[in-house]
Amino acid sequence: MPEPTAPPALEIDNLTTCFDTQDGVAVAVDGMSYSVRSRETVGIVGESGCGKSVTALSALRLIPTPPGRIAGGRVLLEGRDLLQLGEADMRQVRGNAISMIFQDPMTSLNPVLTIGQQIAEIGMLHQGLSRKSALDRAAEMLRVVHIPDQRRRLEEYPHQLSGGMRQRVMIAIALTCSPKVLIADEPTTALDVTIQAQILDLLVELQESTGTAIVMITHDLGVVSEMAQRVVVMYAGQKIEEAPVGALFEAPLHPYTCGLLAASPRFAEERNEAGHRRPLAEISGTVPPLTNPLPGCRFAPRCPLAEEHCRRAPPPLVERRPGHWAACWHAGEMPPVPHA
Amino acid sequence: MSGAAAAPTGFAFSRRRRRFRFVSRHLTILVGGTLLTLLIALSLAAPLITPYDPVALDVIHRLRPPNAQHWFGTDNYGRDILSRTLYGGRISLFVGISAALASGLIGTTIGLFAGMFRWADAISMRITDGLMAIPSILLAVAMMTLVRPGVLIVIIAITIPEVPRVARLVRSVVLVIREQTYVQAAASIGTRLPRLLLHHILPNALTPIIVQATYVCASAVLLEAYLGFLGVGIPPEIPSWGNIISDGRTYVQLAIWIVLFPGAFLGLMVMSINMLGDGVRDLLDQRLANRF
Repeated sequence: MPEPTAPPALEIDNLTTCFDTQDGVAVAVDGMSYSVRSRETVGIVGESGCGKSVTALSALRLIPTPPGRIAGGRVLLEGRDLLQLGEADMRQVRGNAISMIFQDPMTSLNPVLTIGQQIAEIGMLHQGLSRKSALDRAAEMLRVVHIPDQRRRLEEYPHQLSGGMRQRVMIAIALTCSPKVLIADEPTTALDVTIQAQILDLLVELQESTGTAIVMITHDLGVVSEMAQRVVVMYAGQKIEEAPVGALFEAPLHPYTCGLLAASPRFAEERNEAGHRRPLAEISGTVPPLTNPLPGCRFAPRCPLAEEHCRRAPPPLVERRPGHWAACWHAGEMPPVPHA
Repeated sequence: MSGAAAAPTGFAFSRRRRRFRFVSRHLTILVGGTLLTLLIALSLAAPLITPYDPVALDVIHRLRPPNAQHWFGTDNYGRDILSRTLYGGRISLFVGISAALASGLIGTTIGLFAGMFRWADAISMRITDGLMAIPSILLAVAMMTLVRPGVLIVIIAITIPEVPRVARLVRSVVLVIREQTYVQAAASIGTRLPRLLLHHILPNALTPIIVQATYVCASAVLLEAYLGFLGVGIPPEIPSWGNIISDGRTYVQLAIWIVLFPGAFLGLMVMSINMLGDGVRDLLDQRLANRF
């Protein structure tokens, strides 16, 4: 567990990112804040389209502009506001101080370039290495991510590697410059379960040796419980709950988080008389359109606890217990999840 | 590939079978490639094949049908049709390849910019729309009437109407590729835009560009012949296929061989280039190839 006094490696403060669409302005990220310290892993959880990835891409300023734009807030890398940097300085940050791993390793490597070319590129960009020493460094990075026969692999093309191998290559690229922050955008979603575990183990191992802060974006609560020390739950572009991982799983405060936990399948679960497991719970309804946000709590239309007050006034983010924040008028009133 | 299916039947069989598969799968590329190579070789080796100067007059032997001395016969000035056809092939090839290279290069550049930058897209695509509204043959004829005819001018006149087609194709391909995760991943490690374009996006767009270039080449060969036939192409003293056919058209009833042989060569060349283009597309486009 990192010391609470250590300054955050990356701090996102009240970040707002909008997209100008034909239906109006979609506020994909609305006043989002979180921070991650060195050697710490923060999990960002939420369903598809809730702004997890857009927050991360905003931090790297990789939002396509237009139609997207960062409308406000700060992104502090060790105290330096990245949103104030020029484009050339920003390029120095990307891949060097902040790296990113993407969801699908099948599409995140360029099919026409060799593995070696793709890993060497980052060394040549940021460390001023020659092609040859960049390739040496690439071979070393392949060894770090436990890919055997590195020299041969450097010559190969992405289609010659399996999905897990490719994700290891992506991790090798991301960690070449020993970044302060690693943003992992659903790094295991596209992999099968055994490979998932290997990749997560690798990330933990590399974090221990390099001290990188990891932002783990996922919708897999299992991954979060294994990897993260703190969890941020997002809904419709906003942070609705933040807690240490244990507190979140034991006593979630926000009805949405309770719903998420109830919706995750459990392996060891008691069966009913017919031998069937409890059907998976679902949160009925869908995420409201971002172009026309509701005046009150955005989760209200889907929330079993919602009442008139929820629909009118947006709930503030309040620290209900030490380190445990929730934005809900009825925080903690949700009945406990009926799990085994 | 065929390994799994053929493995139990033995090595020799599987190899023969694999060869057969390659031939059957890539029949178009083999036939087109062989035919085109043959035509190119004939044109380049023209002085070795025929002793006659393609422009030398020999009035005594005018309008001779094909015979032992003049395999393809002679025209109304007694010029050897075989020589004229083979030398004409050089012009056609030169024009075709030059136009394909020029429109490929210019079109790709415009397409890359149009696909990457909105401002470039708006400007270049409107110009493209305008150019594509005019039939290419009209555009070429109009250009040719404004300047003194010459081979270079013909190439330019053929290239200009082809550029928009290439540019549009490249733009549409770039629009797809720029959204791929690997482009975003490259940007996320701080790759500069020029490198992103040339190193990460362009190589992925190369297949359709190559295929399109072969089609441009075929249509340029044809367009050159049109212009020659209309009398606004390459100067009439230079034997190009269009010019030979144009010269011979008044004698069609007397001496069909004057138009027949260059016409057949023209048809064969356009067909072989198109077949090669189709074959290359099938070979390089894995989505199509994997269907078999």
